[in-house]
Amino acid sequence: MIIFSIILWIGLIISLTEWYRRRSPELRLLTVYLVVLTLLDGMTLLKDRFIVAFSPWLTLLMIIKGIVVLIIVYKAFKLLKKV
Amino acid sequence: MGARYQSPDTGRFISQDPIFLLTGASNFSDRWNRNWRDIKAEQSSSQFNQNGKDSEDRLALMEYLSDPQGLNSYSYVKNNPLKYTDPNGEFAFLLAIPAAEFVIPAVIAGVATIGAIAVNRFAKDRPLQWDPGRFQLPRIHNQESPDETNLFRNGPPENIPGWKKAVIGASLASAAVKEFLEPIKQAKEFIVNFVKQSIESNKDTVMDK
Repeated sequence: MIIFSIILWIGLIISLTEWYRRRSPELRLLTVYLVVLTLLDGMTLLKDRFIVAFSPWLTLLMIIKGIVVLIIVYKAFKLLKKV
Repeated sequence: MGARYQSPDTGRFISQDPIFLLTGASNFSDRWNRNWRDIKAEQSSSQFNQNGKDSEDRLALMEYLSDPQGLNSYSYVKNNPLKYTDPNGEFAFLLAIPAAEFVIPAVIAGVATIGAIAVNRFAKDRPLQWDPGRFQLPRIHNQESPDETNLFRNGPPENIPGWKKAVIGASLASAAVKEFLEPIKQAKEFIVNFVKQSIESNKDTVMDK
């Protein structure tokens, strides 16, 4: 699973450098999306690493997080066509 | 778990905390201090050496008994696994300490992002002062208009290269795939457990007959 996180980090770095070079608003928004995705992904990493016990609230949180991630990914893909 | 056995199904230890095997020992304080990796030994030798060995014993025992959750020698991390972790079966650590390995990179990334924003703001309002040669793109706009060259240090925003687009797309896709894999993993575990339990219950009924 860590390979997906590493790919995400590589994408974030590329988007950040491109935004720094070009300063277009679309790239800025895309970078913000990728930063948010990375933070949410870090939440999953923390959960997988440390939480052993089953918790319904945590499951609910993870489901909400998944929905948010999918929405952000959809918006970011739409944005990716413009940059 | 290094120091004792743990049952992953119940999340509890099935062997006793090794410190409980020491409490009756005559050399309790020595073994206690050794167990605490010499932290307690340094403190007690500096502060309580003149009072003799008895007070050392009492100090160590009092400190241990001051946490009543620790008295259940089979409990895992004081029955609070959301707050503590116990990787080697000896001590309960606060989760905040190992979480530092994620927090520190996050702080570094945040500082780098804020720095990039600051540099960006700084460079936008000023004329070109340095020329990053290897970042230079082929200029397709009118070179003679100074406003445009000042506004965009490397030329106007063009489409980014295709491979970079592909990598960013792949990273987005990986984030989405991970979200889909998570419930699949949990569902798989659930199904495997369900099948196992049903097989075992079938076995019992067959044995009963």
